Amino acid sequence: MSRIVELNVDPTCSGYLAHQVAQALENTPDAAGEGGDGGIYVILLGAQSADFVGVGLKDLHKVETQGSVGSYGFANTDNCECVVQGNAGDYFGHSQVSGTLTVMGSAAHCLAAMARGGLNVVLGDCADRAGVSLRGADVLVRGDAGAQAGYRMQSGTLVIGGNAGENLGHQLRGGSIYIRGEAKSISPDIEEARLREPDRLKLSLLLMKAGIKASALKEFRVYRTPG
Amino acid sequence: MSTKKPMNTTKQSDLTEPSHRVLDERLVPKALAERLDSPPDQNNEGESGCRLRSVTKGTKLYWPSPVFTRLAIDTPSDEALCASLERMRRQCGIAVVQPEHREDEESTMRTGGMQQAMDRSLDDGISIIPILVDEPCILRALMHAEQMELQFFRSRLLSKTPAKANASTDRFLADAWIPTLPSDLMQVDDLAKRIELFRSVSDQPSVVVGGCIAAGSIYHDVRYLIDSGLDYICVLTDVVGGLMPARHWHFQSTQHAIGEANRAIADSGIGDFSLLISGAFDRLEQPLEWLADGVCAFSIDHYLAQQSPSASASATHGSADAFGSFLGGYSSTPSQSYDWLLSSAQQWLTEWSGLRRFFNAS
Repeated sequence: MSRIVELNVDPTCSGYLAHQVAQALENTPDAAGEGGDGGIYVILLGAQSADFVGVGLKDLHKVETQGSVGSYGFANTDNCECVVQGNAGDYFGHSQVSGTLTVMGSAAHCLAAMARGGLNVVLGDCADRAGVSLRGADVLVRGDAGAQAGYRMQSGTLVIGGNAGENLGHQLRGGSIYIRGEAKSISPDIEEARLREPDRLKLSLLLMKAGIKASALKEFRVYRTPG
Repeated sequence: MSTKKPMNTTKQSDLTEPSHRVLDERLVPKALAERLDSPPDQNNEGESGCRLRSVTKGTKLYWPSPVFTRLAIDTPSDEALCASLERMRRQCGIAVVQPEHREDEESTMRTGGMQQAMDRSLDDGISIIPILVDEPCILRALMHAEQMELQFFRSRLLSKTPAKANASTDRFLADAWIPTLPSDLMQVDDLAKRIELFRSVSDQPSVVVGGCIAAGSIYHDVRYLIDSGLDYICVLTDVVGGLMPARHWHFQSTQHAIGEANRAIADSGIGDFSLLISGAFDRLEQPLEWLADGVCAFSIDHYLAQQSPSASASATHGSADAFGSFLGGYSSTPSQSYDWLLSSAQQWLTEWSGLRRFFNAS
């Protein structure tokens, strides 16, 4: 059994959450010594659209918010599985290192900016510049993405299950963009490549991790830098 | 801090004639008659540090000495250099800008920065945690930071010249200080939110967040950074890009940069705003003049680089490398020692503090 910690998020100093989690864990008996699995399950209450919720968290089995989060939610998390039961604000999952972040609703601008590892899943739509300056993470948007998705991507994968806005892949320098629907316009910085077997494998793996049925892999197209 | 203002501005109208000026019109010592009420020991000790003010919280962070070094981040630093700078921080009270965090290392393990705020005595210098603005942030390194500084340059690791057999002879080129903004900003105003994020992460009540820029368009840069919510600005007019051998880059006149930055601070309408400067000086009095001009703290990197024994070291390395390649290419790199840094800094600080007390006895 995991250790379960319930924390009330103080909107005025939500950036302290990592400190609060560490303090709460000191006061919570370790279930590992009592036949538990050593995992840590944190439930965040009262995080209603607060900024900086869950920044810098590390090595937590699961973190769940009962509500939406504001800007920079779960930025720079490492080896955590975080679920937002609502929407996410700007820069959700900024600088993520590893683990899985899931937004049950939609995300605002600059989803997963500069994220260098892990998986970031949005089950709804996301606004402009999803995956901006991405450094190696995998980003999956089940719905539509806004303009300039994949802006200045350096490496990693951006999967868009719906449609994309203008200028898809603007100034992209590396990585891959998979899109199932249509983009309003595509940047000349990228070009369509043939969807090969490794691409299908990668897509199916990402969809499986996100808990999405991978039934229409053939409908995806992949874009990369020319050459 | 008393050195921010010209000394003795009220009762010395008869002393401001050119013949009575000492060094510079900004440094006018107190008249003998005005020392009547001064404490007897004021000329010996007194407060010799400086305070950086947090604009948002109003709190102040005390530095035991108005001196800092950027050698760890402005040169391709190794373990030996970091260890020497750490000793300099503890023994001389010099603030040290820590090296850039590498992605594969756990936060500030290399410098022990996570413990810095908890075990630091008041005489120790401050550890300044750098944040490269166009790199993924490492927030865990900031959780106990007393002072953090946004570096508006690209990553040092990208700027480093290709690896050589002897890494200590490496240096950064001038393009390492090209002004850079975060590439993921939607609008320039978004920077304020990110600064708020960094500030919110630290558990230190008096945390200050500053920004470091190379001396380019100083007036506009300082105005922009003040509006973004930073607590202080550090302007680099001269930087040391390498120590062995010493490599120095000059961008602008330090005096001009101070003037431009002060003009920007005045025009921004903010009252008490800290300005740090990294410039070259060839006289002991020059940093005093900078302090009198409103500078809060300054870098001694240029002086330290001049003390580098690189001339003799390079000759030694040259013969050793030739011998090594003759024997079949075994690495002949000697381990570098930076003990001269500590002794040079201590000697300079002693001399400078004496001179400062001479003018600072107000």
